[in-house]
Amino acid sequence: MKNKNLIISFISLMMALQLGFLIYLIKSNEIILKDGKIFKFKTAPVDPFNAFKGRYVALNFDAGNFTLDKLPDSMSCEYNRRPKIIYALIGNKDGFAYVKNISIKKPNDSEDYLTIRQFYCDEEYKYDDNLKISIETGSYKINLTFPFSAYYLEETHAPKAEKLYNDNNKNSNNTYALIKINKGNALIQDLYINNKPIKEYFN
Amino acid sequence: MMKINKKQIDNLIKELSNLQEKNLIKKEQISAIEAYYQEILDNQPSSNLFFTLFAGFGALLIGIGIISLISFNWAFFDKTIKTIIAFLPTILGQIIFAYTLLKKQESAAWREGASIFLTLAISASIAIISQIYQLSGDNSSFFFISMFLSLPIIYLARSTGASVIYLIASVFTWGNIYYTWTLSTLILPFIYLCTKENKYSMFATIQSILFSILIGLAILYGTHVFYDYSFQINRIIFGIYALALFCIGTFYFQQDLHLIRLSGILQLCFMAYLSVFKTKMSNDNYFNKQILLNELKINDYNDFIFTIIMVAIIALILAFYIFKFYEKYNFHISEWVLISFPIISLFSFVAETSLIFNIYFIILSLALIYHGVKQNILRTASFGSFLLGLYILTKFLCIDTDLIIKGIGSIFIGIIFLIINYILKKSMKANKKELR
Repeated sequence: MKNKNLIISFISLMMALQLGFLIYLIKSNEIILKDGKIFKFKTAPVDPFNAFKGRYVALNFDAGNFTLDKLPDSMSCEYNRRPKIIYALIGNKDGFAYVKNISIKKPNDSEDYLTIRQFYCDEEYKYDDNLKISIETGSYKINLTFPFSAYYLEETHAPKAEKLYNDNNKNSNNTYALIKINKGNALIQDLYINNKPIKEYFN
Repeated sequence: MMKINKKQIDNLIKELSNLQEKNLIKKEQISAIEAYYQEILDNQPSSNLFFTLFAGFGALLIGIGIISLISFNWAFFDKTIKTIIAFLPTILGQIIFAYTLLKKQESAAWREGASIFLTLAISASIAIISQIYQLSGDNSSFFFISMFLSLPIIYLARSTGASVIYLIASVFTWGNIYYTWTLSTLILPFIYLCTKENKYSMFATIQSILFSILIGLAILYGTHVFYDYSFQINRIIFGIYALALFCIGTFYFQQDLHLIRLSGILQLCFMAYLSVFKTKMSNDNYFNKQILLNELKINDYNDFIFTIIMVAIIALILAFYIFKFYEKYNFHISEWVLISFPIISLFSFVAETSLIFNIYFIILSLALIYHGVKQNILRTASFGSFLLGLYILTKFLCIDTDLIIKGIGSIFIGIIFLIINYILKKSMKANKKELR
């Protein structure tokens, strides 16, 4: 009997742990949706397949590619010296989000920022017509992978979504994602193609 | 007590009957032994492998089916319904699991089926929530959290099938070595328990091989950034890893041809062979202490330092076991030469690396040949002569001469190699006769 009670306690503990995590996952994302500030990010979708999470439109953002005149203190672009996490400070320009600066130190929660775990940076080169060689400009080319790089769709809808993007690609001002940002975390709220939420194309 | 099956008893009786024919034991003794094992067999809880495999496979298929259905990402369900659906696989799995442990604990088929299903169900639930909130997190975190939450299932139900899924999924966390090390450390006691029950079962072998691959990948990923700076350090780290495999195969599984032991031996020989060349990687001048120290100052090398600490712990455990058991296992000289590889590697910091390893490799080959001939093990003698032949051929091909000379030389070495093998075989046969 004692043994049975022990098994019941362990099973209950395991169930609580498993369900507790699922509830935590939902709750933490609901907080971003509730308290987050909304930003528009210009997009460039493509269409791969993720076997674990289904069909999605992979997103790339204009705001993720930019040039910086100076890197933050003690940051280096060298592969082995690059920090693992950086923070991108987000601002608004002409109605769209852009990266104001990057930082190694975590910004205050009052600021709008994103936690970036994947990025690339390199010294910028410019071709000199007179000398016929590429010369360093002293600036740095930065490419950030934002934490919202996929928009999931029903499997049958994804190829159509890709076609929609290609058709609207030339006028990229009309293709953007609405992102909620809260304390460095972010969630996609909706993907707009030609100023219309993507879901409306499939209704 | 170790589990036994009918086949094992039959083999034993067959062997004993042979001894009886030679009048070494009596028939009554055989009957008594047979009766003794038959009683054990009768009292063993029934574990029909066929039913267990089918139950496990069925649960696996249902689990994969649920994941595929979820992958479709049904658009006509709203967020609330999707959230409820997200909990369904886990709750269903938990109910079946709880029922199994409370009512059907004796049935291996129920335990395996319920555990495999719940393990996959948790992953499915996390995947649905990821879809609802459009989370694009990395695979390492996904596999880590799913497997971490599945760990109690494995221990509570003692499920081999779920542990195999756990080990395979853990391999995909290699993007973050802390995840890999955490998951592998947490499953280690379970693998120990399983192998303790029956070391030579198929599942125990699969588990231990998957586990060794997992640790190997964790070490590889934790040290890969350092390849350019110091092959010396990596040689010691991987030498300790290969030595660990060799010692587990020898001390724990106690089988000369256990896969874990063989893979340890082959890895040690392969590393010794690589060290023979004087390349950029093994050149002493290339090792620069200052570069190494500068690199270690940067925070990004936490992975590397962590890996070194873990490997150092493994090395200490190994040293303890070697000193404790070496007398009992009576290591042959060739085994001592193999064991000394990580220690020999330490010399490469102070002396000419390639010279030491050239000498080491020749000694290793000769020791293996000697071991094989002395104890009449043809495979060991052949492996030793293969290593020696490989060494001579490599050195010969590195000489700067034209292709015709190289070609004739290779044929010549090949013929000598065959003759040596023939002589070895002959002398071993002669040894055998002498022993008789």
